[in-house]
Amino acid sequence: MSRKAAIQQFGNQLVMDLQVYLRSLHTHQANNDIVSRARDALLKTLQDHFKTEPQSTLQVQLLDEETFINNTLLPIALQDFGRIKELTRQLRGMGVGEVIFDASVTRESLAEFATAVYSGMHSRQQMEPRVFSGIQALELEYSASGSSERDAHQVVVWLFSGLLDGLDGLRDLVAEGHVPTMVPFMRHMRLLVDLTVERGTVIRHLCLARREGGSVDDPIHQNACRTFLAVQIAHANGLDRAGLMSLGLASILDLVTSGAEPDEVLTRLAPYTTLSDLAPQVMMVLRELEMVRRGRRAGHQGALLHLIEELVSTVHGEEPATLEDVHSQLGWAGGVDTAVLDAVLAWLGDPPLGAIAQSRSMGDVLLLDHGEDGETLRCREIFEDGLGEATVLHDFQEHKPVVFGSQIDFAYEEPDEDDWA
Amino acid sequence: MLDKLISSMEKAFRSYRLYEARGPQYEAHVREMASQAALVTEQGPAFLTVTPHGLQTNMERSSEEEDLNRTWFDLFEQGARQIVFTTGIESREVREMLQIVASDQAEGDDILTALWRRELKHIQVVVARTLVRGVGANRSTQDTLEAQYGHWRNLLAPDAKTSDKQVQLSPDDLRVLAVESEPLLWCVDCVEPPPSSVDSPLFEAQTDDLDTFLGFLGDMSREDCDHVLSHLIGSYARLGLTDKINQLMAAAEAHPALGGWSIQRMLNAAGGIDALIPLIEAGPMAFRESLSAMASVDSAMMEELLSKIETETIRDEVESLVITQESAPLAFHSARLSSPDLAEQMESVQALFDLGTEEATYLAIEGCGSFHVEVRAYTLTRMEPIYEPPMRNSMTRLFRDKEESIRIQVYRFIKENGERHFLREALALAKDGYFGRRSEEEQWDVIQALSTHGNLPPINLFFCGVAASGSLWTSEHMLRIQHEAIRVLGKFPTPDGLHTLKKLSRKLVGAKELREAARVQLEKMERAPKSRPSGPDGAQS
Repeated sequence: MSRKAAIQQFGNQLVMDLQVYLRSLHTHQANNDIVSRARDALLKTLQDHFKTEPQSTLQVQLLDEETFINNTLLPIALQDFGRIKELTRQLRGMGVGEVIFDASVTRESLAEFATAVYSGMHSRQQMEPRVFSGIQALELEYSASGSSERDAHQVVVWLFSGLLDGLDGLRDLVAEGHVPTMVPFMRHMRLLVDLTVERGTVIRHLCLARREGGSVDDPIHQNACRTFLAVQIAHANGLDRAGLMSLGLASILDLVTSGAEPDEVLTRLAPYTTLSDLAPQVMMVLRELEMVRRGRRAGHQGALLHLIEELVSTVHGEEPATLEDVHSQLGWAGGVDTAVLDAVLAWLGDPPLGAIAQSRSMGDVLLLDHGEDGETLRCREIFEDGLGEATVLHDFQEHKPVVFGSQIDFAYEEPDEDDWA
Repeated sequence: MLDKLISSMEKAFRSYRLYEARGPQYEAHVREMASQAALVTEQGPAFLTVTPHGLQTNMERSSEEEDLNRTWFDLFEQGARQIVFTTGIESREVREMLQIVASDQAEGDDILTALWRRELKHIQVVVARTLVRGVGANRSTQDTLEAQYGHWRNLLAPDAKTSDKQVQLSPDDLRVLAVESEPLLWCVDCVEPPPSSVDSPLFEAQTDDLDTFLGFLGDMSREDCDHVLSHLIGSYARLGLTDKINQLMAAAEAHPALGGWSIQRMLNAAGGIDALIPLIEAGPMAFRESLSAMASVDSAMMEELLSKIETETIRDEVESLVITQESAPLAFHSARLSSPDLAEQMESVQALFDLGTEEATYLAIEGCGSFHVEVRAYTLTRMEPIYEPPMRNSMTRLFRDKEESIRIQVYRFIKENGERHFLREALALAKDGYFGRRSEEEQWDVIQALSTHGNLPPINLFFCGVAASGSLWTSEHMLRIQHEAIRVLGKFPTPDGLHTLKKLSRKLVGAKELREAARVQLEKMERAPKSRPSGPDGAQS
C-alpha cells in the first residue's frame, strides 16, 4: 500500500472514531459505558499511530465538502459521508475546523476535549478551552473563489502564495528524484484563469509589487510572477482555456527544463504523464522558450514566456526599473516576433498600472486602475507611512520617469465606513 | 420542466454505464437529455444544484434523509456545485459531458478541470474549490509555513518521504505576509476594466500543434517516445478528444517519427477497440482518416470493429468511411451518392458512368433519386444514350420528377426514343384531367412527344379528339395544339382521322383557321398517291 493510501485509510478510521465518540455525547453522559468504549476506541487508534511515529502530529481539517488528514484529502466513503458532514457541522458550530493530535494525548485529555465539545454543543457558543494535553481544537479559514469581491482578492493572494509553495515543492521533489504530479497545478491554473477574469488588476499589482532589494536570487518568486502574468496577457490576447493552462504549466515546468538544449526538452518532460492531453502543447512551448533564450526564432507562446521573463526580471531587479528600462530590455530580446512584443507592450500600457508616477499636486502616486469606465486613470498618493485614498489622477507629469517601485508591503488602512456617515 | 431534465440526466448517466455509452438505448437517452435541456433553456439559462444526494433545482430544499447518489456524490466530492445549461445546447455537448464525467478516469485525473478546459459552450459546471488556511492558535509562522509547504509537497508527490526542510523566508515574502497580516489590502478595491472583446491574431496560427509535435518526437529515445505516446492516446481516449485520436491513429503507420507504432498498438494504448467504440458511434466522421488507415492495413481488425457496432445505421456509416476509391470504387462512389455534398454526388455519378461496366452504370442511375436537381439532370443526360428497358423504373421516377425541367427533358427523350411504355404514360398524362394545369411549355412538349408517334392508333385517336374539340373561345395555346392534331391526322391518315378532318372542315362554328387547316390537310391527302390506311398495329406505309 502506498504511503498516501495508508494515511487515507488511517485518516478515515480516525475521523470515524472521532465522530462516534462525539456523537455518543448527544445521547449519553460522559461517564456512560458507550461513551467510554467510543473514547477508548479513538484512543487506541491514536496510540497505534503514535507508537510507530511518536514525533508526528495528526492534523484533521474538516470542511463542508472536504476532509483532510495531514493535508491529504480523505476519500470519504459514500455511506460515511452523512456522518462526517454532521461532525463537521457540529464542530464548526462551535468555531472548530481543525483538530490536531500528538503523542501526548491521553484518555483524560480526550474526556476533557469531549466535555468542552459537550458544553459548546449545548451552550451554542464558541468552544473553550481549545488546548488539551495532546489535542488542539482550532479555527479553520477557507474561501472559495468568486464568492465575493473581498474573497476574490484574498484568493488571489492565497493562490500566489500557494504557487510559491507548489514551485518550492516541485523543485525539491525533482531534486530528490521524484516525478511530481501536475494535477494540483492544473487545478491551480483553473482558479488562476477564472480569477484573471474577475480580479486581473489585483493579479497585476501582485506581480509588479517589489520586495526589498528585488528578487534577483529568488527564481521561485520570478517564476510565479511570470506564470501569473503569462496567463493574464495570453488571456487578453484570446488564448483559449486549454492554451492558457498549457502556457501556465509550461511556465511552472520551466523549473525542470530550464537550461536544457531545445532538443532535450521533450526527453526531460517525458516522465510527466500527468500532463495528460496537454503534454504536446506544454512540451512545445518549453522547447520554444529554450530556442528564444538562445536568440532563435520560435513560436509565439515560447516568445511570450521569454518576454514576460525579461519583464519580471527587470521589474524585480536589485533597483526599481523605469518604464524606459523595461521598454529597452524588452526591445533587446532576440528571436521574438514583433506581434508578441506589441502584445506585451499593449498590455503593459503607458503609463502602466502598478508603477509609480509623478503627480504635480501629489508627488509620487501609485497608478491603481482605470476606473469604472475603463478610461479614467486613478491613483493612490504615496505617503511616508503608507498609501492614500484612491483618486483620479488629473495632473500626471508625463516628462517625469515612471518607476516600477510598488511594494508588496505597502501600508494601507481602509477608511472606516462610519467616517462617511 | 427542470424535474424532467434531471430525470433525463439520471437516465443518460445510468445508460452510459449500463450500455457502455453505445447502442440505440444510450443514443435515445442522450437525445432525450439534449431535448429536455433545449426545452428548459428556450427562454433562458437553467440552473441545477449538485448535491451528494443528486441534482436539485434552486427552489428545492435539500433532504437529509434522501439516499446518496453515486454519480452526483462523486462530482460533488470533486467540487462541482452547480450545472448551468444555456440556450443552444446540442447532443454533441451532452455526449462530451458524459464522456468526461461518467467515464472511468485514470488515477489523478481531475474531471472538473477537464470539463472546464473543454469549454462546452452551453453547459457550464460551477466549481467551488476551496483554499484552506489553518488559523493556528498556538502555531508559529514557521510552523504554518512548513505545514503549507508540506501540503503542496504531499499533493505533488503523495508517496514521497515527508520533508524535514526548514522553510527560510524573508519577512517581505508574500507567504509570510499572508500568514501574519492581510497583504495587498491597498489594491482590494481597485476596479476591474469592463470586459472587452478580443480581436488579436497572436495565437491564431497554432492549429496544427499535434502534427508539429509528432515531428519533434524524433528528438526522443524510442523508449521515451513510446511512453509519451501511450499516455497521450490514453488521455485522448478518456477525454473523448476524437479529432486528436483520429490524427494520431491516421499518422501511426506513415509518420517517420512514429516508426514501430502500428494502428493495433495505438488501439491498445487507447484502451482497445471497446474503448473507442462509444466515441466512434457518437460521430464516425471524426474517425474518417484513422478508419481508412485501419481498413487498408488490417481488414480483420476492421471486421472486428464493425461486428461490435450495434446500431445498423452507424455500422453502414463506418463501412462507407473505410472504403477508398482505389480499393473499392463501386462501394466508394455508391456510398458517396448519399452524401449531402452536391460536388461529391456529381463526381461519383460521373465516375460510375465512366467506369462503363453494367454494374457501375446501374449504380450510377441511382442518381435519379438524388435530392440535388443537378445530379438528377446529369444522370438523365447520361442515361438517355444508353437507355434500355431495365432502366425503366429510374426513367419513370424522372418522368414524375417534381422539377418541370427534368420532366420536359424526359418528354424529349420519349419523343426521340419512342418507347411504347413511356408513350402510353405520356398519353395517359395528356388525357388526365389535370393536364391543363401544367405549364404551356410542358403541355407542348408532351404533345410533341406524342405527335412524333401519331401513327400509333391510340395516339392518333387521341388527336382526333383534340382536333374536334375546338370552340369559339379557344386560347392561342389550344389552337396551336389543335393545329398540331390536324397536322398529325393529315400526316398519319386513318379512317377515324379522315372522318374527323372532314367533319371539322364542314363545321359551322369554331375557329375558321382550323376549318381551313383541316381542308388543306384533306386536299393534301387527295393529291397524295393512294396509300393503304394504317393497319391495326399502327404501322404506316
